[in-house]
Amino acid sequence: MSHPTARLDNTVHQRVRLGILTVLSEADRADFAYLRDALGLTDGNLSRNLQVLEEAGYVAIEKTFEGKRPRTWLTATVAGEKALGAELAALRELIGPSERKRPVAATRLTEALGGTGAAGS
Amino acid sequence: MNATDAAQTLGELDALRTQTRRRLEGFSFPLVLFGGLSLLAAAASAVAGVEAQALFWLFAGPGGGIAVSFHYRRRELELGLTRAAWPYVATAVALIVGAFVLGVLEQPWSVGPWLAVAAGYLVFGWLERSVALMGMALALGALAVAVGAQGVEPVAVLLNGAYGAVFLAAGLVLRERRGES
Repeated sequence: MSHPTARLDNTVHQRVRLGILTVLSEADRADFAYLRDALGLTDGNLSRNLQVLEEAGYVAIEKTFEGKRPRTWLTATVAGEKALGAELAALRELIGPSERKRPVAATRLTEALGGTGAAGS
Repeated sequence: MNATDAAQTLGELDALRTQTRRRLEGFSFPLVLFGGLSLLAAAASAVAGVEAQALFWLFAGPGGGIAVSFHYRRRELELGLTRAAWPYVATAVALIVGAFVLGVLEQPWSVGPWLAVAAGYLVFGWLERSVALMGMALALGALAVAVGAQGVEPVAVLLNGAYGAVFLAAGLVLRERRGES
């Protein structure tokens, strides 16, 4: 079996792109301004990283108008969600057995009860 | 990349995921709205009987659901962040249909509609990853079961009143604590 680092995807592994896919996997879609502010990026930096993700088929970009104001919405594609999942699995594998293969339902319950990544409400 | 870097990256992504989820939360509006409607239904039951509150919910239930969907739509457009609506819409439709069917059948006791509402809010709590909302739904469901088992009357006044007071209080507390719009 190969070392987990061999399974890291260069396109997704970059920190900004990991952040973009993480936000988009939690939400249905996010607009350009939200992503830029949430990740603390410049317009140019976000645009460059979105272009890489779009070319890889991991993000879909939709340009709309609200009145006369243009708005860009971003959505993670199925391939993007899968790539993020594989990346997170590889990262957990790097850490150790205790974090490996956390079932989705168990993760959600843990979060609801105030565990890792809890909304804490 | 070593284990320490991987752990740090995963920690940062968890924080980002939590931040995104928190920004999407906006459950105070439906709680306040349906809390108020439940109190009005309790008043309708007390004044005009159980049929009046059934008629009230026939319009208030779907109407409230539409108001909530408009609220979420406006809020998400302002925020620039949206979530999939279908799990919430499917739960709301199941809740409303379930409450009416159980109300008509009067099974499993006359408290059926309130059990459907509690079950619906349990699912909403699961979707929102909110243990407080799930706890509230379970407590209200247990209250409905107790009222049904003991045969306490008048059921509609008691349960509409209790549900309304709890929803309203929870919604106002959420709004105060999180500054939700």
